[in-house]
Amino acid sequence: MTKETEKDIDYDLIRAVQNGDLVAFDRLVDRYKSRLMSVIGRMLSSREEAEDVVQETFIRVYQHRQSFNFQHCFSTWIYTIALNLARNELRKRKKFKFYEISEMKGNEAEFAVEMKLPSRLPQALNTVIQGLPEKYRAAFILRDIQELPYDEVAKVLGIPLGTVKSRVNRARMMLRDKLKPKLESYNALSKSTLLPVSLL
Amino acid sequence: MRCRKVRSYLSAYCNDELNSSHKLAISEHLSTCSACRCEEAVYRSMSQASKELPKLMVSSEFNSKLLNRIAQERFAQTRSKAYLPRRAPIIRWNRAIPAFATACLAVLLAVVAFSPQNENGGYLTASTATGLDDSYLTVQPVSDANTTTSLKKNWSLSHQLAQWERMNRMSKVIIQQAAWDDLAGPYGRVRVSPLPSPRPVPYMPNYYKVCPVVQTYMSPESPSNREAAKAY
Repeated sequence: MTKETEKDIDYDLIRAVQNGDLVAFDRLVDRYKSRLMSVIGRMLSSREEAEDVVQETFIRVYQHRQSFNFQHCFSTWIYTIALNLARNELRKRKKFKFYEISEMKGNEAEFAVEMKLPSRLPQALNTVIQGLPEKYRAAFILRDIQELPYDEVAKVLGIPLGTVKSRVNRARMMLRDKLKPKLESYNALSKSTLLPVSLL
Repeated sequence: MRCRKVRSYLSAYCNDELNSSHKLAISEHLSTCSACRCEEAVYRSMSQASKELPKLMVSSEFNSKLLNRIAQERFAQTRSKAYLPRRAPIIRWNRAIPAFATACLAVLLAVVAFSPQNENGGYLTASTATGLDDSYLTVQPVSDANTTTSLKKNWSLSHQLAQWERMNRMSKVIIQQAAWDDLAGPYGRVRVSPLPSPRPVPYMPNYYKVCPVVQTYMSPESPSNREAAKAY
């Protein structure tokens, strides 16, 4: 499905919602609930809170459906609402903490196991992403996980294009610093041993 | 290119975000530098892992919960706009009464303050203002307490003025009659043509702004009547 087609579908649905069609709204929810959960679930540490934020996002979309400007992209609009709500939630809880992997107490064994097994690398990456500062985390999630284009990320975050590229690059470097020791050892081990990778 | 500069571009290189010239320069450096090749492997693993991250899904009741919340909100909006009656205007008597009393007092003071007065403090009349002789309008204070009381009891301006006018005319008629009687003597009463009715005095509120006191009635036996008769 091309980008233009997706945009047109979104426009048709939001136009129907503006006319009071709840079935169209239900379809819109189905289209975006997973994407929003994937972003907000990684911004917030709690799954239940992330679901509440996503629900609140759709309620805000419904409340302000008449104020949607068709000159803008619907996905940009809904991501902006969701991220603003997530930021408000983070400020309320003040649970952000930037910590080193070596400071993770009680989870070191589990993390070591995750790092050794190749299939566990995404989970390890997921854990490390939670430790990024909020502004780098949002840019990384939207660009590298949601695969949004740089200009759309700039519109969602409300920052210039150059700033987005800088933040994404900085986030990748931070993650690389955290993951490099373990990844290097894994790579060396996988090259030197004759055993199947899955048993490591 | 140096390793430091290459490593700053490696993440973009691994994600295919560089233009062709940059890409070529970096690939040439990577072919000669093993350390940078290790860095490239780390970035490629990270890029691959970010694409394989577990998907976070919402609960199965998400849609139903959301639609319930929206239905509740629509109901609340409809109820607040359509069904609640308009509030009746609330009159705060504890503020309205003092304000009304103050307004009345101010109007009264303005009326008293801006009424024209003469040098003696009495009210000006049109006569004193224009210089005409309207001595019959000159009043004197009533010394009799009883009369004053009875006057004040049944006092109304227009009534008293009318009564005073009638008595004035009657007194003039009586004086004239008495004068004619004296003149007539043995020939009987001379018919006296009635005096022409005086020009009606228009009622002017400022003109009669006096505290009228009824002039004492002039009886035929009054000393002033006899003196008037003697003059003739």
